[in-house]
Amino acid sequence: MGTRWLLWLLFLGGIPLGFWVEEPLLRSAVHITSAIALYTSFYAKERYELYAILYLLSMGGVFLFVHGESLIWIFAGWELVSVAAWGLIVWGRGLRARALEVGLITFLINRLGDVFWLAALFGEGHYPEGFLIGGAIKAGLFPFSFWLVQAMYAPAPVSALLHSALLVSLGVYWLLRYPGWGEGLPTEVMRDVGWVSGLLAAIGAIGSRRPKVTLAWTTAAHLALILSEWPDEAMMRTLLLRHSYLKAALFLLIGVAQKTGYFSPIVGSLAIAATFLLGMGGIGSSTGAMIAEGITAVALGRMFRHVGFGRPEYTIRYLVLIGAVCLLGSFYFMEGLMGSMRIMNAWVGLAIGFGYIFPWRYAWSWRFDKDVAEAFYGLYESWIRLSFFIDRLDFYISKIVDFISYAFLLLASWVARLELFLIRVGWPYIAYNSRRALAWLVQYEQPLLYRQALRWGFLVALMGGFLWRYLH
Amino acid sequence: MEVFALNALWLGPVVAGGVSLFLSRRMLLGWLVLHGFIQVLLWIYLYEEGEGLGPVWSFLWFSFGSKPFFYAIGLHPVNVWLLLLTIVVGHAALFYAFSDTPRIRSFFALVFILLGFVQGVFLARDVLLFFIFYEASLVPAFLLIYGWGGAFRRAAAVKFAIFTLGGSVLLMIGILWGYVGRVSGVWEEWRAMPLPAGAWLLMTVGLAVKLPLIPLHSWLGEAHVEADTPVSMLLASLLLKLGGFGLLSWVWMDGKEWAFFLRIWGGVSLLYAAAVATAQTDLKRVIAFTSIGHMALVAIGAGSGSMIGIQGAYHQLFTHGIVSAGLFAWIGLVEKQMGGRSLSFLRGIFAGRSRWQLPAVLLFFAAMGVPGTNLFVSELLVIWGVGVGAGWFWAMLPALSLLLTGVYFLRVYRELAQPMGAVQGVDSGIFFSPREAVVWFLIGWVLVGGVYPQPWLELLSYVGP
Repeated sequence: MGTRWLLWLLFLGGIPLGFWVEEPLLRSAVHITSAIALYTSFYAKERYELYAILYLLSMGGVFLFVHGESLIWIFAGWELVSVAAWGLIVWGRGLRARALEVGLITFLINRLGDVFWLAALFGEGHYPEGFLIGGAIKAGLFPFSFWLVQAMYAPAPVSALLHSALLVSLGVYWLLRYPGWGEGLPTEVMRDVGWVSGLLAAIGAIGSRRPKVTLAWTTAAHLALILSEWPDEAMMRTLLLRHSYLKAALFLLIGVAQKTGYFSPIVGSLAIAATFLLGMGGIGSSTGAMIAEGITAVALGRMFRHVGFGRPEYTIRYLVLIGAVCLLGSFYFMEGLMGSMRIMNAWVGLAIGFGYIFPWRYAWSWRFDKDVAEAFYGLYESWIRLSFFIDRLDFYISKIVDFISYAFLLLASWVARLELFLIRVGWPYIAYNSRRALAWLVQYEQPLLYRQALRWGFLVALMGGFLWRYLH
Repeated sequence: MEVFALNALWLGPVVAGGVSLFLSRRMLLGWLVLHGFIQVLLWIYLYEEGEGLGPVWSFLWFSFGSKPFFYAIGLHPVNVWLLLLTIVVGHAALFYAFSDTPRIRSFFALVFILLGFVQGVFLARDVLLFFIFYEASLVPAFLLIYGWGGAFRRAAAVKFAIFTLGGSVLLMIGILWGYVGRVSGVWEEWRAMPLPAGAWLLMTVGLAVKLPLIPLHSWLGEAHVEADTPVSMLLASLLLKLGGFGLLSWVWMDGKEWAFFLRIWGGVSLLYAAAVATAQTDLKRVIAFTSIGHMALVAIGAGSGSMIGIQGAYHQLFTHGIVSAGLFAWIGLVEKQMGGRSLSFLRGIFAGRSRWQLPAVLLFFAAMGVPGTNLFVSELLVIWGVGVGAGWFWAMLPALSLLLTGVYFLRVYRELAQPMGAVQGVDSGIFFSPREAVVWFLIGWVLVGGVYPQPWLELLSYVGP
């Protein structure tokens, strides 16, 4: 039992509270966190209070970001979710070496984004690109997706939290919440960068073998595609909310599958179909984005094939159920199969089938995020190396200062020795001898030589005087 | 009463120092509590009296030629919280020290006297009085480093004294130069017109020794490491503030003209300190260099060229004072328990000991400027101020502090939390002591200041040119 009740309290309080909240992202954050709290209370075996506190902290971060009255509070919210993520990653499965490493990478890359984000935030509108860079890092868009992939080390509910409304979404959401900040941004460039980034992330999703990693990649792909929709705010909002709810649900589902080895055909099929209907049916105002989305769909299909692998006999049932739900859904929710260019559910059905049939073991596997991760880690290591060098430098500076002060002390000691010499030897010697000389001068019996010298001197002076007078 | 309270704020500790020479260890504890209580009451009285804006008291002390020198002390929005910082950290450090510090009477006396002079520096409203207190504080600080601490404390103390005295010479010449064209050095007149460039430079360099900025920082690493833990707390949280306070209050008043210079100096200092802190293997040295980095932010704030940045720098003086004292207190705790403070020796001490790591995590995150801690507010204000005063590109410089502090604190945490194998003990329970109470007391200040910074920001909004 332990402190499990804390999580139940969070759930019971969060659900009604969520309905009272008006801001859509915050509402989704509250609801998703509440649901995840309930899930965690059964998923985790210990550390319930830790989860409860950090979930609350994440929720508080989103609240501050959405309702912060000054730039400081907005940034506080932005930052708080990263801190909570660090705690959840590092402590979620207990303190392990890998968890510490992942937490370090996650936190530092987010802080790197903060440097740009802060410059944009406090640059009084002169540098909107900073928001974009900071947001891209927060959202884990390619090429910054490596931290998202590595953060999959965390337990499933934590991943669900980070990938829904509580961390990565903020990287795109700032455009919707504070549209004024995005005013100077180049729309076409964003669109193109968005779909290219989405496409590469989708390929990454195909290349990955573990379900959670696939999901991480699809998150990167979806958020990039959502970003490419700018400046269509309504569309972005809808997609972002769908993404939040569904990504959370998918991670929770993966968590179940990881615990049990499989999930039942009905629940699984409904989840998969709903994912494609709501989460993806609608992106793609450019061809590139549509292609990216198609590849993402294939990756998800492949992922579910892996998950359901424990019971091969379920495959046909899966396919039938998914196809039926997609077909029905596309008519009821999406204005018919061909109603809009944005609808891709037919594709999705095909993609899932393709995902099942294609012999993926022979497909290439792209892990270009590894290169980026290594580059980032290399940057970190280089800084550490540089720091050792500068530390050496500091040591030498300190030594030089010491040397100067010791040289001064040495000089002072020599002066002191000179002083001592003068006091002990020099001054007495001089005093003694000058006294003797004086006595010698004034004494009556002086040596002959001296008197003669005096006489001669006197004579020379006298003669000189006469000569001088004579010459003038 | 106001006059009494103002004077008692700095004379009280000096007298208390004299009295504590004659008390036993147990009586000293009572004396400490009584004194702290009275000081807090006086502070509250003065704060309520002028709502943080007053009162001021001055009389003509002496005059030399046509220049009058005033004994002028008073409260001002910029020193109100620093006075409280002195009371809080000073008494916390003494409480931390009282149980097992050798030669306790003289220790208490020196710390009390140091506190009195530090209060004097913050209270002074005449530049000469400021300088007198500034110089006077050197003596007890020197003796405290010299008398208590590690094996190399004497060399460290001498180095500290040489550096600070060198800085004081420059500061004194700068102050005398600043008198040219002014009748007196009282606060209003001193700040009414800009200083001559030479005076500005001399005073800045003189105070940068105490702040410290590189390459004048070399005394700090040794003094903080070699001193006893309570003395390190006082050095980091009060002595460095004298430099920052002087820079912000008595040197920095005319905004933009020289801002560029200070910004670059502070920025270089920040990067340098972050790098050196990353390479350290001694926990205390890490914190010592963190202090340099954080005080570099004060210099950057002073050079931000905007009022927000200067307010942030003032705020940073208070917040860093609390955080660094907390960090040093925590390290003292670990050193006491484990018998060492080298990172390689302490590797893995957090595994399985949540009691140990909770204060550490809170303090590390506070030093990293994470929301909910007081340092976050001041760092953001500094970054904001630089963005407003100098543009977004410059704002990246103090913002880098967030990243680089993160690098070395997470690195340290990773070392301390690294799982080391099978025997990762249970909480021993020995860790709890009055010293741990001091750590938690300071953490309380960190969190209160982070969650509700309004009382600080309200007063700082009065800071004007």
